[in-house]
Amino acid sequence: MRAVFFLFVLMLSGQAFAQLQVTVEPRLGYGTYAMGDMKLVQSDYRRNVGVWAKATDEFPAYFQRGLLVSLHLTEQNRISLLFEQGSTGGRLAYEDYSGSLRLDQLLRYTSFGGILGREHRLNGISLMYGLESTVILSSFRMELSMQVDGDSYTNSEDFKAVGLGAKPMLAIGYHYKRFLPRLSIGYLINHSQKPFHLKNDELSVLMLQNQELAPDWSGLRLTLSLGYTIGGKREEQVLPAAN
Amino acid sequence: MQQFLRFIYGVLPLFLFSCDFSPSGSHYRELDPTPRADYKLNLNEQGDTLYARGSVTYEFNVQTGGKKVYGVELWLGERRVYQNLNRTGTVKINTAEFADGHHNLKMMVRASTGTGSLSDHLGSEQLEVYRQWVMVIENAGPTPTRLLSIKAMEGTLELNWEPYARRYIKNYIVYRYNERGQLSQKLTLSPNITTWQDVHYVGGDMYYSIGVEDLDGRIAESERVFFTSPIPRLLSYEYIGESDMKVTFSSSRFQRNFGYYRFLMTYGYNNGYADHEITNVNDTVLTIKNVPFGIRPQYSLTSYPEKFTTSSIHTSDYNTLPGMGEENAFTPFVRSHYAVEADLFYDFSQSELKVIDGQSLALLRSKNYTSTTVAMSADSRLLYLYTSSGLLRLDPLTLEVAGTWQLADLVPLVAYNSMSLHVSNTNRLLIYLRNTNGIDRFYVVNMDTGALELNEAQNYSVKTATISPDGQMVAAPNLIYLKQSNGTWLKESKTGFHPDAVLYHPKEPLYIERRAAAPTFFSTRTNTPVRSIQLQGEQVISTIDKATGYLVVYDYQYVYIYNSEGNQVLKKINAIGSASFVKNRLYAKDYYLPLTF
Repeated sequence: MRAVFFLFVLMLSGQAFAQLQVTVEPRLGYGTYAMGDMKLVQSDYRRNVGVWAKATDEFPAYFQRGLLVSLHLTEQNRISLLFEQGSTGGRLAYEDYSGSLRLDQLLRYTSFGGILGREHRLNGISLMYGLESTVILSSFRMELSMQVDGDSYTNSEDFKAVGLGAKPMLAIGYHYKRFLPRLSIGYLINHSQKPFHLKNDELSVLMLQNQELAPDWSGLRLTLSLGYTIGGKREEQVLPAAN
Repeated sequence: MQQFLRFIYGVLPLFLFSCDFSPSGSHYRELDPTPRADYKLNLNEQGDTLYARGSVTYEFNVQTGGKKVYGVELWLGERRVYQNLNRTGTVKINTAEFADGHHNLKMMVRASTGTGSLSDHLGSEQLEVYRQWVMVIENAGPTPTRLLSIKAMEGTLELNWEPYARRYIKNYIVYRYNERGQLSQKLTLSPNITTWQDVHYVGGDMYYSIGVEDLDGRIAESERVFFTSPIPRLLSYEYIGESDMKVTFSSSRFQRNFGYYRFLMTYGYNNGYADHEITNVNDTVLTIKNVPFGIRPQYSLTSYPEKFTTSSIHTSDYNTLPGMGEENAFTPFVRSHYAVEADLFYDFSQSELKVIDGQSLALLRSKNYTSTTVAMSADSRLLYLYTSSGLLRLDPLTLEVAGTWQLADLVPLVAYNSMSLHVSNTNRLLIYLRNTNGIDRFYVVNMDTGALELNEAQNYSVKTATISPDGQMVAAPNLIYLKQSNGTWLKESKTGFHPDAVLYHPKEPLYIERRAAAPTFFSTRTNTPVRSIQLQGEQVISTIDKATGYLVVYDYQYVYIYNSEGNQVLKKINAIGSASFVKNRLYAKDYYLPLTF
């Protein structure tokens, strides 16, 4: 993934795009996750484990990292390529004098997609709204570990799933020279195309109570990004004026 | 462009190295690791000690207070006899597969601890609870107990034995053996008692043993123990008078067991017996009536228990007693003749003449003669003897020869086979010559004068003739010869008359027929009836005693001594038909009985 990223950067830095105006914008987000099915798995296990286990982590809000590369189509229209990764997890924990039990549900996603957006400038303040569309590749590792009377037991299974996401978003930023720090807010709606299946076996689908289980990354997103614009003149003309 | 690269290098590391979500929570639950020990392990048997033999079945149940059971096991010693998951069940044990003795029966339950811990829940934490019983296995056969004592107590016999220490006893058995070791009684008794009274014992030698019979019918008998106590025995006997005997015997110590004494006295084959039963244990003096004279009575004194059964023991004392009267001190002799004045007996039997003292029965003198042809007068003054050397007259006191004659000189000799002689007090000698092929002949010779007074032939099957003591009468079959005053003999016919049946009175000139229906004394001079006597029943006159003139009369059992008139019985003695009376004694083979009148 990193190799792709670097290749992309090198392409952008080429002279062929010297007249294009492109913003490279790494971003860090924070967002909540619905994860209804995963919570179902957790509570079902808790009910059946027989001891008074506690769900200590219930798929909390967590950080996302991503990279946007936006092409300035016009003064105001933008089209961006997006790469993002995020993760969350659940834990069911129990421990007493005789041993411990832990069921960890580790979920990650990597999404690729694009954004169609429109930016308005007002005295260096940037306002932008747009729609993010992504393909979300989810991975899920379920890890059961137990330690009883000095014996330990661990078992893990890896699952994969594919889904689609759409996130309407609104952002506010401030142009400073070629830098654009920006804060955006949006809501991701996650639609699963495929439920979790075993990593190496697409036919083995994760089910609970006759219901196929899938990740649900839907939730509110708050994103902080710092863009850097390369190419174009106007910014260079503006910048000396600002000086 | 340089600025862009600085931006990239500045931001990207943060971006790249930011981490994935990692759960971090933990939840510790404080639990008391002490297991809840509310288990109950039960068998359907009371107590902590189980006694078993053969095949036994126990029912068990396990209460765990709701905790999970992982296994129930029963171990007998090192061997597992049951294994399952059920909380209740039955276990069957064949104890024969185990050695006799104490074993440990262990019931073990593996169950959850109930602490609620993870380990409890997963079953790796388990509680092993057990309960133990002592199991006493006993399949061996019974062992004998010990007879501790046999004691005469309160008039009975009491046995005490050691209580059987082991279990599974069905009965005690009392064995009693007689003195020869033969089993005489076997009695089954309750296993709860250790004492027993032998109500049958009245004395004697006995062996007892105690058997233990177990529930399988196996029996172990103890060693036999000997017990003896004197049996009632004859202590003394005494003849009283001429017919009774008084006996005294020891009494039984076992008054409570005692039933009766039986005193049985027998007098020989066909001679009768006396049988007495005495029920009073202290009544040990007995008078037996009508004991016969002349025999040695045999007695048996038997003591019987009150509860007499065929298996009862009864002990007897038995023996032969001396007969009544005095025992003959000398060789038995034949009292052929008695001399009243001299008080002597003459024994003419065999080829020896014996003179015996009438009082002491001592042999005074004897002489050997090769003859048994002897005659002695009733008054015992004349004694003739015929030998090969001729007819001898002997002195009755000295047995010296006082005269010798040749038969041919006295009578006209005829052929004969045997001879008998009879002599009267008047020295008339009757010589009877027997001819087996023809006619007998007898003679009467006056030995004082040598005159042949009578010479008669006789042709009867009865080959004898006798002469009366006064010498006045000769008795021959169907004929009586009477001496007449003119010296001749008058011959009178008397049908059925028999010389052997004639008894001459020793003192008076009378004779009587022994078996006459109405015995009558006839005169030896005139052959006319003089007086009759009245006998009782079927009596036969045996002799007329020379010394007293008493009539000695018999019936089948008794000897009667009548006075000389024959009208009064002076003595009646049980002599079983064979005894002889002389002067003042009744003689039998081995005894004489002194009589006083």
